[in-house]
Amino acid sequence: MKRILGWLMGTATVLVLLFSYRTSLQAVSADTSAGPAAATSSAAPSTGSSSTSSAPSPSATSSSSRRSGSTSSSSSSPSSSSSTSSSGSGTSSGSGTTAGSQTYTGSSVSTQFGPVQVRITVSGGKVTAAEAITYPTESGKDRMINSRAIPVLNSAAVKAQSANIDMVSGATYTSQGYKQSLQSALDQAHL
Amino acid sequence: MRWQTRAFVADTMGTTASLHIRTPESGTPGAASDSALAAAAEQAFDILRRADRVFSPYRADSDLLRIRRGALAESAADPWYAPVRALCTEAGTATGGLFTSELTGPDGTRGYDPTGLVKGWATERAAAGLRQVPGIVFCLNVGGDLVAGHGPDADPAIPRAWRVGIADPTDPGQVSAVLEISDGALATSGTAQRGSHIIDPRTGTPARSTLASVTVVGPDLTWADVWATAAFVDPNRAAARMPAAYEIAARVPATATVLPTA
Repeated sequence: MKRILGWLMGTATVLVLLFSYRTSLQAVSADTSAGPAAATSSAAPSTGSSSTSSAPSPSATSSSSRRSGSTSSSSSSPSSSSSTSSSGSGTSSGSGTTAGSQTYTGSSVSTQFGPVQVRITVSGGKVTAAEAITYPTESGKDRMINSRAIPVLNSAAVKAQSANIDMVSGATYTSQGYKQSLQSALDQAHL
Repeated sequence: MRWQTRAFVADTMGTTASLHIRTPESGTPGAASDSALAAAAEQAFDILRRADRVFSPYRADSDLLRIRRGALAESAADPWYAPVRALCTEAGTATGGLFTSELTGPDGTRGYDPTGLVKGWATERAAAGLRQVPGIVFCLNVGGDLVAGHGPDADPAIPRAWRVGIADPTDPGQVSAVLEISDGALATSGTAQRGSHIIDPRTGTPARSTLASVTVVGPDLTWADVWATAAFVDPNRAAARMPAAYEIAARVPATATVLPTA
């Protein structure tokens, strides 16, 4: 009986692993109340307690200069989705500026389905777009999974940002799950 | 006053730790240097890494597994080993058995495994170090369990509050609740990311919770984490035993299906 139970749990684990791909893509949210940037959209940046009059300055200049510091040109444009599945050493890059908006590209992460890479666009302190620029398409099964997962990711990013949150709490994600998530790309905005 | 947020990220303890630090903007009075912030972050992450080396049930060379194999005496283990063991016992008692550290590990053997407690404990310890860093306001999030706080002389113009989105486990793209925390701990237990990994100590099988996730806030992450686990197993019994300083701040009911349907 114990043996059977063990087997069942093993099976459940496999199922969970299978589905965790989608789950981890969904379990993302936006860290948008970023100090300086958030001030552009609201004077009291969502941080209830901070009723101080001295809202942080918009400082698009300073924060973008910081970003440019860690920016490695636009070498990670979507076209370069060659995505050598770097085991996500966190060396993702921000890039691209179109009149006040910034894009951040997360590390490409190799998953059991293939490489996944997420890019977000931040404009005026808000996430205005999120897209998976690299995702697996090889087999029919992968397509089936991704055709659901990717749109969910896209809408989730924009929905989560409307809540204007700094951090996310939920069931513990694995490092792999984290890297696939928008949270990873959002952290880049402050790295 | 101008302030900015800096983020630091590290993979450890089987998850990813995100540290966000609010600090006066570079070049303004009171601003910490980049190197000082990076050093503080590394120090915090090093505490998590040490905990991983000592307590990981996945690393054959961890003190935990060497002790289990009989290759290391408990008395010769890392000095962190004994206090965590004592806390696990205490947590079992305090929760009336809703928390246990007797688990079946990844290698199939059953025995003492502090996984359910040690992440919160180590994160709290890392946060204690960050509270010594002058002028900063921080939030350390280790796989969804987080501590918020600030160092001495943090400028009151820098907001202390962090808005924490509680991922909706039934639809994790959504935020099911937003909680604000300024100084304290917040832990969520649930099934969304790794399936039914929380064991009901009373049956020895995965907890069949009425909840998909439950979030507990309180002064110390070790206990917020323990109580979140206990509350996931049995919300009412946990709530009845929980000290006044802790509270269930959010709960998401389970739906009929346990696994997400693709």
